[in-house]
Amino acid sequence: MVTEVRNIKKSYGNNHVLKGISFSVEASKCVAILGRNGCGKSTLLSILAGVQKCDSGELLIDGHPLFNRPADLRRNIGYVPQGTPLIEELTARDNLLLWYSKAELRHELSGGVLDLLGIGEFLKTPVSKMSGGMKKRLSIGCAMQTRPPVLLLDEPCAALDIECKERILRYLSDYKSRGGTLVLISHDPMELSICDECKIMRDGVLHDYTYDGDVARLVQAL
Amino acid sequence: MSRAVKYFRLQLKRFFRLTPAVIVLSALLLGILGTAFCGMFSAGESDERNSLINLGIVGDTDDSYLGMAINALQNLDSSRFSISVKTIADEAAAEKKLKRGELAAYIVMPDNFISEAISGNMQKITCVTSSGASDFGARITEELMKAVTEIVANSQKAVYGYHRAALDNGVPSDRAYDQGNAVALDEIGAILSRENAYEIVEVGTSGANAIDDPILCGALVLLLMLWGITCCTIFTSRSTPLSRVLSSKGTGAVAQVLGEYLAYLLFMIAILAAPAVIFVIVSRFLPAMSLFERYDFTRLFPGILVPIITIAAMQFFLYEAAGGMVSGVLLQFICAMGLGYISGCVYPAYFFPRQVQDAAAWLPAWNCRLWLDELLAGVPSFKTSAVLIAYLILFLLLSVLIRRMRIKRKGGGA
Repeated sequence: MVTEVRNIKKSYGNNHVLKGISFSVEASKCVAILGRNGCGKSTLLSILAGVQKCDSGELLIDGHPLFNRPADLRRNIGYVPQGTPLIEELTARDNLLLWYSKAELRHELSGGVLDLLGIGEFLKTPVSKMSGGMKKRLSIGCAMQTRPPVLLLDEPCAALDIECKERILRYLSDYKSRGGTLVLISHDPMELSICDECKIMRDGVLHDYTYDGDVARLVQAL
Repeated sequence: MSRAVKYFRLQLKRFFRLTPAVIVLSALLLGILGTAFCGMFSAGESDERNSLINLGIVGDTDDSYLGMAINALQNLDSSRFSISVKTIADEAAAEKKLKRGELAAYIVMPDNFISEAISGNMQKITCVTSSGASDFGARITEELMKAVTEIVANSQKAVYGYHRAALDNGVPSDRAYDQGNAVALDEIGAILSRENAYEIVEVGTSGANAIDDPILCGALVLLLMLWGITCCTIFTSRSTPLSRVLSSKGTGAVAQVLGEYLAYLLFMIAILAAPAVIFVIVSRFLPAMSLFERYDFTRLFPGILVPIITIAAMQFFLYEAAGGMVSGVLLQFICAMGLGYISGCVYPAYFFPRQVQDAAAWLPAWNCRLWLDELLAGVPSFKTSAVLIAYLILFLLLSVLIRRMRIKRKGGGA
């Protein structure tokens, strides 16, 4: 399965944020998009997730365009935005029930995606009392309801401690190894360790970049 | 079950999780408002003496004596009220003004009232006030009594003065006595029938300056608007990233706003229902209290639902527009007090200039108050109901627009 982003353009008035973004990712691969704050990374991700409309361009999976087929887009794309897409006052279970039916939830908690994410440990904990890592795992759990082949993540490990990062990255690696495609926005060298490709967004255009662990070189490239 | 319905149910659950915080804040708000209202009304009783009262006069007002009396009334600064008297062409126009709240009352003068009164033939003056303005009617009556008493005392002085002058000018004592006696008897005849000289008629009306109804309706509307402040924790803990994910999964701004609004509305009704039910039960067991005698709360409280629907939409829109907690609370407070003030929820509407009244008549708070006022008088008008529905739709549409902007905000970071 190949996910292809083709010539996506987006402007806000005279501000041309995305000037023709194109790339493709194969199944079981992860591509990281890096760039300075405000360069348009999150805009690109929200366009791919169907939150915003682009001025032109297309997202294709195995050659099938998705933007004009919203049901297919929703089924094939999982989206974990920056921040906490959860209802703070409710428990993990309540939040999951927004996305899963009760039967699905039982199934996923016993050997399914939610079990892999270890959500059963804090199922009855209100989100407001969860750690950052728990919230992120729960957010990924919610996004995985349709078992999407493509998962878009906006800084998945931001503000997490090393243990939490390791647990999330272990899950993402597992997802990738089972044929999933990952597109993630990142500033974190630890996140980049699971990526197969890096791209730097500069002036609304993507540039290929090979990350070799040299942060100083990466900063220069940004 | 569709995701929109699930979202509504979860929002409802979320709101009820926050009930203790809302109840504590509501108790605090009630305490502050109660103290403020008590202070305002105790101060208002003395202020009322100098309040401006618009009084209409219909009928034969051409008589020069009557003209002089009207002029005297207008300039009577020591009166209990400052009275502005307006001559109105016909009774229909006067009634219309009374219903619009432009007049406190109007007086219908019979034809040739003065000339008939001079000849001892007292015709009935009709004073028409709005329902609930009996207090005002009583005060008018009291003023008339005072005026009549003054006339009697001065007339009696004149009768005795005449008697002395007649004696001093050589009129025989028995004749002077008979003449003085005849004048006094004529006057007493006229004065003794003074209870038939006027009649107070109360019309079921709205928006008028009734002493009790608009205060009750205004206070209820103001309380409902201010109650939005207590829900700040509910609205400011909303998650924009969740809105974005929901939108990406097909539950757009319309479904989100409707789900949250309906949950808020049900929550508001549920929270307010408890004190309302207690109030209704108490009113059944303690009917002797004047408030319970006067109002049918079993009818009034269900009627409040209509203003609640619009006010809840307004509060929802304000929180949606504000975003943060401090800005949200400030916006709620400023809008509630500002709208309440010029819509006659704090002072009777006719205290404000005509232009302000005209503009305020299209505001949501005015129409909520008017709706309750009309409900107390009978059936709310179609126009008031239509304005409230229009505002409901407007607030929800604006909320959807803001939500859509927030979801599609440039970048999309949290």
